[in-house]
Amino acid sequence: MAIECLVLGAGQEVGKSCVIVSINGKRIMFDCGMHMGYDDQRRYPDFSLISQSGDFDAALSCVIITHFHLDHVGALPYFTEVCGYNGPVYMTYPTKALAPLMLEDFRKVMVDRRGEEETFTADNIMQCMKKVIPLDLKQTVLVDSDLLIRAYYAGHVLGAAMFYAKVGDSAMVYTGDYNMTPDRHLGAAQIDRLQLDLLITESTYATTIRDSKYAREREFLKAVHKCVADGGKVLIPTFALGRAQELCILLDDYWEHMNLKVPIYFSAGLTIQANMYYKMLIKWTSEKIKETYATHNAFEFKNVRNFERSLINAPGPCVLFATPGMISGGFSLEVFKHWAPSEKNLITLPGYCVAGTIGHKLMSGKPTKVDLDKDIQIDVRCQIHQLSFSPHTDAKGIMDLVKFLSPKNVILVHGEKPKMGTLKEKIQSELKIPCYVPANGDTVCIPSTLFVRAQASETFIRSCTNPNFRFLSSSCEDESMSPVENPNPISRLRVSDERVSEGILVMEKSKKARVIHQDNLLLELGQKRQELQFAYCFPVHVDRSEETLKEVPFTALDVLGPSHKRHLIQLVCTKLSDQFSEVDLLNHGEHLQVESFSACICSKNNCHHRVFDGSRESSVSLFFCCTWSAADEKLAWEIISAMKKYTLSIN
Amino acid sequence: MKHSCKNSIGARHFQHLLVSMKFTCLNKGSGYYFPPSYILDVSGFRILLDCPLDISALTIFSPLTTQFHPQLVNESSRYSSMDMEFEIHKRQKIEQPLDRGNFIRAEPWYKTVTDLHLWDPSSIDIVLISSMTGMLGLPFLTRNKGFSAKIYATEATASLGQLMMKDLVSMHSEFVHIYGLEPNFPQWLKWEELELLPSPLKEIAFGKDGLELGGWRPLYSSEDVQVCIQKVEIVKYAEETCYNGALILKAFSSGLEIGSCNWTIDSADADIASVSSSMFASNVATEFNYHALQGKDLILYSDFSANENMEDFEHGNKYNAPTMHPSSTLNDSTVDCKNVDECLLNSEELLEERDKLAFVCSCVVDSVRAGGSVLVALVQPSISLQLLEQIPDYLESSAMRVPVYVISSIASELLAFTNVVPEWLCKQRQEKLFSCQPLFSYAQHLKEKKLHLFPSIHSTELLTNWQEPCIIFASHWSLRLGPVVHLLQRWHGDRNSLLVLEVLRCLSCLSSQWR
Ligand SMILES: [Zn+2]
Ligand SMILES: [Zn+2]
Ligand SMILES: [Zn+2]
Repeated sequence: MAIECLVLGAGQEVGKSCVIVSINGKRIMFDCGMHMGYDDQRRYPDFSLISQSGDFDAALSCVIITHFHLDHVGALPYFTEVCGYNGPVYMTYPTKALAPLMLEDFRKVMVDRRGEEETFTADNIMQCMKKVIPLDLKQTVLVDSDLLIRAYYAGHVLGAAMFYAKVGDSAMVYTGDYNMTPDRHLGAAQIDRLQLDLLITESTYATTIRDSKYAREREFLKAVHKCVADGGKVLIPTFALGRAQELCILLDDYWEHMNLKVPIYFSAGLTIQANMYYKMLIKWTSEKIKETYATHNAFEFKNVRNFERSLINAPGPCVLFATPGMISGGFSLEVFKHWAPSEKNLITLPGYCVAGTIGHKLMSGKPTKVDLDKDIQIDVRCQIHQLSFSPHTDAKGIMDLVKFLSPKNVILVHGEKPKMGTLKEKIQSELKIPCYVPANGDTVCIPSTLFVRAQASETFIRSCTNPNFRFLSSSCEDESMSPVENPNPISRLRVSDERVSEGILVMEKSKKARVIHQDNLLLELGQKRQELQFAYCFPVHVDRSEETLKEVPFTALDVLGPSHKRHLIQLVCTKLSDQFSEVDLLNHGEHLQVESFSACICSKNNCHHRVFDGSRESSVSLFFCCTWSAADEKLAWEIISAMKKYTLSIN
Repeated sequence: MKHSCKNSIGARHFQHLLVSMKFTCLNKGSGYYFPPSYILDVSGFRILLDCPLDISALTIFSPLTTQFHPQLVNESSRYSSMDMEFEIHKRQKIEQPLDRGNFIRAEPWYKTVTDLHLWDPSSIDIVLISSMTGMLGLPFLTRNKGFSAKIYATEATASLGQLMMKDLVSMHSEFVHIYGLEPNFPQWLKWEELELLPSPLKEIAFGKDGLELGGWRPLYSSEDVQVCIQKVEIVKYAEETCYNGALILKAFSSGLEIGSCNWTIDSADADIASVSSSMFASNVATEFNYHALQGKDLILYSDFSANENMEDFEHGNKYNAPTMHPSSTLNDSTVDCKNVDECLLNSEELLEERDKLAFVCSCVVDSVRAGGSVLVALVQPSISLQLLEQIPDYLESSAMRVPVYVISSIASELLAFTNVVPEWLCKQRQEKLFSCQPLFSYAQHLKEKKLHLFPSIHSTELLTNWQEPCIIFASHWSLRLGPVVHLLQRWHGDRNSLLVLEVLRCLSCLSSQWR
């Protein structure tokens, strides 16, 4: 079985996140986003690739939405109400509460400001949200009897989650957008160490490594403070939810601290509603905010007021949060038109802007003019500050997560193609994990896992529980410490117990797999133990003195008397024990033995084991016949090569 | 980031050797305020379920007589009492009535689950908590040196339990103020003294069989509470927790109270569900999750306090229950799940609860109309919360402007808490989150100054705001601790005033103090 991963959106780009994963017969859609940079059919994922017939209920087991950003949820009402998907949709409680605000905001911008025909109605949004099943973090939810899903905290925005999905033995995680470092109002992403076949992760900042957050926040506050001190206006284009709250907390604190009186405005009437939500959902924020909620709710801003349209051209400095972010239209665009031409003013842009938005145009180079459409052009003389803090993880965070989870495969989505390529190389070379960067419409296939349940034999389990103690005396690193400072000098002996168990996996056809101990193997197989023995017969040079020639007929070296044989064996023994001092050498009279190696004088004329090398004449040689078992092979050859060099003398 | 644990082959195998589990009942329970507790030995692990305090036993002590003028008038105030069924109890006194002098005048001690002290605390591996009252006795356990078990509770239960313990410690400190520090073994605990108690009080002190005297403990300190709470591992509903690679523990909503739960314990031997007091549907808490019980080998129903006809488990008896293999009752049910869900949601329980709340509200209105004040003393937060929502509306529709006060050391924390836990509430309340309304309507009452919160009876804001008649919510504590004592003293002679009370034990013991 394979896991099939069809990328409908956010493949080598940011926008319209949508990945369809088929895993052991189940099919899950992760995210259903829209692309802010397009206003034609490219805005939505190409759903026809899921099902030609359009029967999405049959084609999908469920839809999972990671968070309320439009690039992750923007196409959902279209998919459920217009395309007609009726199956289950899962998202966290905050996402279910906040997504409709984002969708409605977007729909209004679409209809009122751009004058486009809407692709879904306010009623569609409402009907769509009714189909959503809300989830809490860590809750284990069975979509059906085989498909299990679970949400983990992702940071990023309120309610953002990473999703774990498991079918049979195959499991995967889809991260959505996440942040590995906590910020002012949200905690850092948190996940268990899971066994995964596949990790699909965002890679917005695939190559960026960020320095301390404190410095980046200071930079932003300095820029804003300087602008208002010089009487300028600061425009912060942002979506109503998410960064807006983070920056508001930051500015509100700073205003309080510096005792500034310059007004901070929030454009949309959404603030009050948004704050209401944030207050009820306070358990999803950072530890610090959670701790103090009963006495002080961090989302009640002291210095923030509502903005009226008439204030756009009012004199004097101010700070304005205006929706939508990235200046993709709506009120932020309207204000931008008025404020951009003055060099006194400041516009802050988020770290990432989708291609096609004004924000993106402002970020690429330093344009002095921006085309709104064919006819309208705006002079841009104002200062532009790019926020370098973002709710997305940086490259180090992505690498940390991949390393922590150590999945069998990684797929990168939600990023820019060249940077993703760099990250892919890094994951493959540093972590040795296969990594893929599919484009929209591509399908990636990876093998899935199938666990075979194996029964463990009693002997095997007993051998597993045998301790394997090692006693290490730890070096005294803290010797400098006087006995007074260290009144309780604990024994320096450390005991380690790393259990090693060896077993044999037995898998037979039509039988359950078992793990058994090696001692049981023969019994299990009904076989006798077989030993592998090596034998070798080789010549050793013999120096014969005149006397022995007289005594022993020349031709009869092979019929040496027992006393001569013993003498020769003794000779070899002495020489060997000089050379191999560390081995246990035994002299059995007729033969000598080291471990399983044994050697005796060979008196056969045509020994099977004899190898003639022809270098020495047989006439002056004596043959030694050796045997040994496989375990001592190395030792045997060392002894043999030593013996070959000997010259023995018979006297 | 945290390691998740996976079942290892070895661990699973070991459990095959143990095929039976042991169930020991410690306390059969008597309602929400004192849930049953028991010990379960399964797969070689010892699990304790719930560690409550018998709040009702506080009745043997005399409440503090305060500087408030004690008017000992004939009984004239009307008692409308509520127990779990919200029925009006009019118990006939069997014996001669008790009077002031019969009660113990000393710093109260607290009665824990007596049989628990027969167990070595270090032998317990796991403690599972099913509701906030199920953890009130925990600090007694966690302050034992040998105690090292893992304690699991839902996030909401742990928060509520902590609040309630905090309230208890703060109420109790009033006694320490008056009596000073008591010796380690107080006079009243001596046999001769206890023998002199009238029999209803004696029964509370000794228990039916005279064995419960060992359960009395002096109260824990706020440090003990702190240490205890730190040891509690919090979980969400349906979160899988793996203990020691061998047991998988999961909490499922029981519908009774915010955060209250039933536990499932899955091991290699058997999948067990332990069902505590549950309600199919609730106007406050997450609905009872019965799906979680499907496919279990064994279901332990432990709380029959609401249904006296059920077989009575005498505590102390041991049952060696061999685990059954897949044949559970819910398994075979062929009823369509959706239909069951609908039945449950429209269950009579819910309608009955609504009727009773409406009845209480109308009684409250009647009293106020007659010029009396109302004192509401309940144990279960979800009932108080609903009354807090409904009473101001009732008053408004009867065109009466009477202030509603909540006097409790934890009032503001409790109400703040209930408005930030949408995940732990019933479907209708979750809908409020999705339509951006406060989860409980008393947020609006607070804003409109119909409802006021005060930490204690002595707070200056209360004294400056004081207006009579009024409606006061105060914590129950068997009418022995806290603001409720002072208020009863003030109003018990007024025939128009009303006490709304959750009855824990025999009413005569509880209220005869005030005759
Ligand atoms: Zn996002
Ligand atoms: Zn995104
Ligand atoms: Zn030979």
